[in-house]
Amino acid sequence: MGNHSVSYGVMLSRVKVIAAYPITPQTQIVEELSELCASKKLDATFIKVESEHSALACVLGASLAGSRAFTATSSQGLALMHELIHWAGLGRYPIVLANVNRAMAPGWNIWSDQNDSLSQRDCGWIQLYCENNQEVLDNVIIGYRIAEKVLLPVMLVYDAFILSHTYEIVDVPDQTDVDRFLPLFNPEYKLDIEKPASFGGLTSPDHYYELRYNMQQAMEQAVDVYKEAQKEFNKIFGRDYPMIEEYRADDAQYLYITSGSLTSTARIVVDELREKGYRVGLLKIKVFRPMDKAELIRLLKGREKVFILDRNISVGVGGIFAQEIKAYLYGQKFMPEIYPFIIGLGGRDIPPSSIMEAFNYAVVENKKPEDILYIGLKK
Amino acid sequence: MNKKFEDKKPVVIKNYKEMPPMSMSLSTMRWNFTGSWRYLKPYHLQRVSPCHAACPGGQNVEGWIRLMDEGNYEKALRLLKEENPFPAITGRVCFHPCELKCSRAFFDSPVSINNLERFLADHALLDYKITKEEIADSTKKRVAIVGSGPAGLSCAYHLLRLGYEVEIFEAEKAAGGVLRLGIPEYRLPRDILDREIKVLTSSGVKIHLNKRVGKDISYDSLKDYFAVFIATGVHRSKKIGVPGEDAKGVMSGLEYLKKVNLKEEVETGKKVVVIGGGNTAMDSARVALRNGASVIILYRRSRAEMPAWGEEIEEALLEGAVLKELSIPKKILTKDGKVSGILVQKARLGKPDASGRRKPEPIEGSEYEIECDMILSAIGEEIDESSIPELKISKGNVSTEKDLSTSIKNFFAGGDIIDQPHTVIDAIGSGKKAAIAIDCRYRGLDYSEVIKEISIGDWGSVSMQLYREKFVFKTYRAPAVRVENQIVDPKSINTAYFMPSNRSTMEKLPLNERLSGFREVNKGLTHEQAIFDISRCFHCGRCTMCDNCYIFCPDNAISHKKDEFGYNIDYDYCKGCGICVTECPRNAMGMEKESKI
Repeated sequence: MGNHSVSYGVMLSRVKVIAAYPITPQTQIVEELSELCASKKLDATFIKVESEHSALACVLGASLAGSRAFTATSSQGLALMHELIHWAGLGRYPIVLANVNRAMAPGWNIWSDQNDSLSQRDCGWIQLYCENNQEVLDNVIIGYRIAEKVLLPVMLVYDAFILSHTYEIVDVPDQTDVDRFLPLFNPEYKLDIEKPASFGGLTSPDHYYELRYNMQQAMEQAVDVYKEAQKEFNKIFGRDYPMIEEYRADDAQYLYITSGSLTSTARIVVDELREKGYRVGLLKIKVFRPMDKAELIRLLKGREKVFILDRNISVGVGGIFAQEIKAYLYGQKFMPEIYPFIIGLGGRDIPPSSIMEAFNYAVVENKKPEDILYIGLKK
Repeated sequence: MNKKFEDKKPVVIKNYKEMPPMSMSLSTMRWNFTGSWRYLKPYHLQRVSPCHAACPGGQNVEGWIRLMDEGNYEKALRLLKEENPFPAITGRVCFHPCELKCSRAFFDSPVSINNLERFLADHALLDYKITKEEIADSTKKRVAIVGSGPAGLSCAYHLLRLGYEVEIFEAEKAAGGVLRLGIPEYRLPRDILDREIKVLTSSGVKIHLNKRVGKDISYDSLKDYFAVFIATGVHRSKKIGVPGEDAKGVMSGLEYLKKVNLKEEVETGKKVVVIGGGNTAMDSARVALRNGASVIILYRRSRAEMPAWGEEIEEALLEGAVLKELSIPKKILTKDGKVSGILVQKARLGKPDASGRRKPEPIEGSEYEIECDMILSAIGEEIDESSIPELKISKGNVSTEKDLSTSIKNFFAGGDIIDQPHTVIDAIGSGKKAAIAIDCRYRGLDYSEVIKEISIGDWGSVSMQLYREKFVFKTYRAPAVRVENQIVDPKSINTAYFMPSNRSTMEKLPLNERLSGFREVNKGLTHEQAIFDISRCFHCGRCTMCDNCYIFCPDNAISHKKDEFGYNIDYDYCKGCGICVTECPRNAMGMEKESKI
């Protein structure tokens, strides 16, 4: 299952400190890791904590002390971490956090929905959205490599139950290969009694601005760092995770834009439509932060219509992916019409027919786009 | 600190390239004088421990427990003896009001101060001597003391150390007063008593035995002395006030105890009835038990109202005495002029009387007889005016001024004959206060003003150590921290820092070994127990350098003093957040408004 993928990714990354608090649907990550630690398959300190806030605090302390550190959570747990989510980002801690996408309560709901991770988008984290369990495992390892290069934390995101609890065959890489890809963590800045310093202390208006500027620079650099890491990963392991993945998009008039596991369903819909003769393709946004803006613009240029599927809603605005993509495209020429669809909130099932609805609305019925469009809403 | 950071200037970063990626210190924050933000100012201080304030003898309990904690038993004993010359005695017979006020009593159970006092006296300096250094320059004055009980002996001890020639006149054939005549041996072994008295006599205190003032020597002959301290005690038992009281076999408890204690001829009955609920009654009962009698104790009210200490009642009953509560003696039955029994009427408890205790109301027709051949009455003692002629008496006590002076010039009084609780430690305290009063006269000091300077809290505890340092030796140096004469409120102890624990209890002589003689019942603490109980002390209001303030200060503004006890607060950086004050476990810190505001 996806949760075990995470645990094995953590083991292969030779993480030294783990602190996590269990929450559905993340629990098996913690269980498996504690067993891996207990059986000495993983040589790491497992710290039991009383809350997610403490979990992240432990992980930040461990990271600053020079240890590769990991935590995992979901939904309300991530929200409880929020103060320290900022601390991790703005403090430039190169950690990896696995977040299983689960709807925010109330109403109490444990099913898939992206609002938990997306509500943390302004905290300075790299966010990787995964489509399947292989990707989940691989991206833990890739996550550390990027995080430690650019000194930004990585949030690994995947869907509740659809991935977290679903079994599929996953190739577990060899440790030696992983070690080749991911060297031991040896940070330049850490707590060191030989060079005593305090971290995260008072920073005057004279200096704060430059810290943020440098952080933005790091996030921008992360695009190239990701691509470079991805290239090497592909070379060693033979698997490819572009920041924006194209599927039958080359000559496509119409494009779906998706993220997470619903991408797989959308691929089927694209195939069906292609069989019917429509020139339809798909872009999967793999990396939400940083966005590969230049690539996005290049890929969208000259297309007719784009259907963005958002399994989330920023209440008052609409789908968050749509909102961001529109912003990136502002002022660009030859841009397609954008149809922002809200779909599958709170874990509502997304069958191919639902994804087809977007195409029917925009192309078959040839309707105009609106600020927010709803698929699957009981009217 | 690294020298290059000492210039107290902030690091200036000219552009973003010079900025490290992480928010981290590149220098100290010494340039940021956060002390200017302060509204409230914390400071270390010394407050009064409740035990110290609660001791009528003024013992610096926290002080000597601390010295014991440091392993310095000799110093601890010497500190204790600054105030109380007889720890081996009070360590056995004191009713320890200190423990009632011990902050630990409000947390789990009080530190066993009394047992520790005994432990200290029984284990340190058994050949204790008053040193030449502790005796002040001779005043070349003679003081006469009448009565060698705890008050007289205490006064003699303190006056000796203040540079006086002291003579004690004792009416009985041995010194000690109530300690010898009233308190049975199983509570206070005589070798202990003798040892404590010998400390005085071997340093020059003269005790004239068999000298009853008013009979063997006159008051007038005492008037030649610089001062006279009267502490004759109260020895006349109150009458029961029932028919048959004069029969053979009726005796006061006090008289009985005295005869037994002085090893005089006395015939103990087979069936003894003790009347009364005080300590004398319990002592009488327990002594009679040891002399082979079966004992019934009659008390008018219920056990809850008995003035005897709980432990004494418990032990008496444990040893076989039978307590008949709510029983009023009506008539002593006689046969051929000898006691043959007692007629008792049952009672029920009514409304509280003037003493605050519920008053017994006789139940009509409930009389019954108890067969007995001896009756010991112990319903209270009163002053015997004939033993103290000329002295003005009011409400049963010798009238004294605040400085314990009496109606006769240069005559002072203390102990049970003045208006104070009839306890050994109150007697010792009054002897000490009288010694200070007499010395004040010699030095021309105003006693009331002096007392203000040497009071410990406001419950009547007075420090001889402070008196000697401030007014006699003039060696007093104020402690490095502020001293506030305020008693620590148990609520102000931060009990989060203390684990609940039970106080140690002493092993006692097994019951089957008790009644065959007068061996001491309480065996004292073991060394392990003593060390454990020492560790239970909160050290209320006194810094122990536990480092909480130092550790918690978010500004690193608190540091250890160099080569000295205590801490410095760097007010350039202290923001006045008060965390140190809150986290001080023992209320040895205070906060005040910043004066600059």
